[in-house]
Amino acid sequence: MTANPCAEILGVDERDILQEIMNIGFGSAAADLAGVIDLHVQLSVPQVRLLPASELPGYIDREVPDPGEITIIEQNFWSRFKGTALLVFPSGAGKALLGFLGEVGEHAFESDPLRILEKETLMEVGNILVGACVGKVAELLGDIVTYSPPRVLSGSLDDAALTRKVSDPGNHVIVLRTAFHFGNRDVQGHLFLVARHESVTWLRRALQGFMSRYA
Amino acid sequence: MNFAGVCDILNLGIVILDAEYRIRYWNDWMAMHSGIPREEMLGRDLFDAYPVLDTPAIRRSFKSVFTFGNFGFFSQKLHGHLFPIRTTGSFQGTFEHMQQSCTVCPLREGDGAGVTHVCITVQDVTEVAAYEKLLLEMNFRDSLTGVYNRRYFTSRLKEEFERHRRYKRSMSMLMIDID
Repeated sequence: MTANPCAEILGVDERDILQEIMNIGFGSAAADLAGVIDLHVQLSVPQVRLLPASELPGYIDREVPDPGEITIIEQNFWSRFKGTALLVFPSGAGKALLGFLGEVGEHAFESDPLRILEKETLMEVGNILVGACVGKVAELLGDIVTYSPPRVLSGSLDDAALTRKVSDPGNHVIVLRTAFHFGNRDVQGHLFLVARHESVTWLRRALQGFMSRYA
Repeated sequence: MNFAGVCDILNLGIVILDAEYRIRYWNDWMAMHSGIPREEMLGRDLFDAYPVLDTPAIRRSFKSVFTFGNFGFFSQKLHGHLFPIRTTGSFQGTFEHMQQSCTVCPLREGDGAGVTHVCITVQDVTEVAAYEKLLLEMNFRDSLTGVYNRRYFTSRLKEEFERHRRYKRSMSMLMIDID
């Protein structure tokens, strides 16, 4: 163990570039979401953190104001930029977004509990949001990403499973965090992008490549 | 060897659209299940061939795939189906149309290029959906009389109470002895 293991992954400069890229990427994602599909979403200035994988669940818990009743949508993305996107919605967000998708309920079973529809709604909205944000950041770094279908994690974060998924517990992960707010629906939540340890080498090179265009 | 024929032997519907939503590919599975041969579909506008698909939600999903290069997912739970294909055989009584789980994927001409086409895959999930429906029925109804059971009452009461709280409207409950 060195004094500052995080520095081995990403230097201060590289972290700043990544933050700037996210800022540009998310800004353009928000503009496209509003322009193309009429989804008005505000994204806060993103933060970049380097964490030991084992501290990830604790970090997410601390960053979400009321971790009591939440719904988490998980979606994996892979290419040279690999990782997991986690969207954390407060309870009730599904209800608030139900109408957004239009003809919900028409084909659903009469006996389907409302919460199944809410989950499905959150998955669809989450899929679009993750696709826009991850896609834009990857595009700026010269990568094209493939996605797994989104899925709902039951109520809380399974600490061990999450840590295992994103990295060996001994490794570090890069966490990109932003808060989002659906302007016309009064729904807010948090988006965490967790880059897998394997993509770090590629990420460093891509960040340097991005900077060299301006050097 | 040309592997393109694989698309015709898969147990999966495959439809490819260009940026104007014209059908560029319609595999054998789609032809067989929809009853419309490939020659008739090629070059046709998807929304012209299937006006029921012309909804804001579906257009939004396609636009999102073209713009962001992400994947669109149409779950059976939320949408039932995309392509209205009549069910045949043992599920006719349960569902009027084949239940589908569909994915919309981006296609690019080359590495780093923009999305020029989208590919829709259609999976038949009628059997699973029918079993799920049956399980729900068994969970909520008394098997002898077909009347809703206590579990259904409790879950509906919870839903109605939530609705009452959300809209702050009055709520009443009637208890009637019917025997």
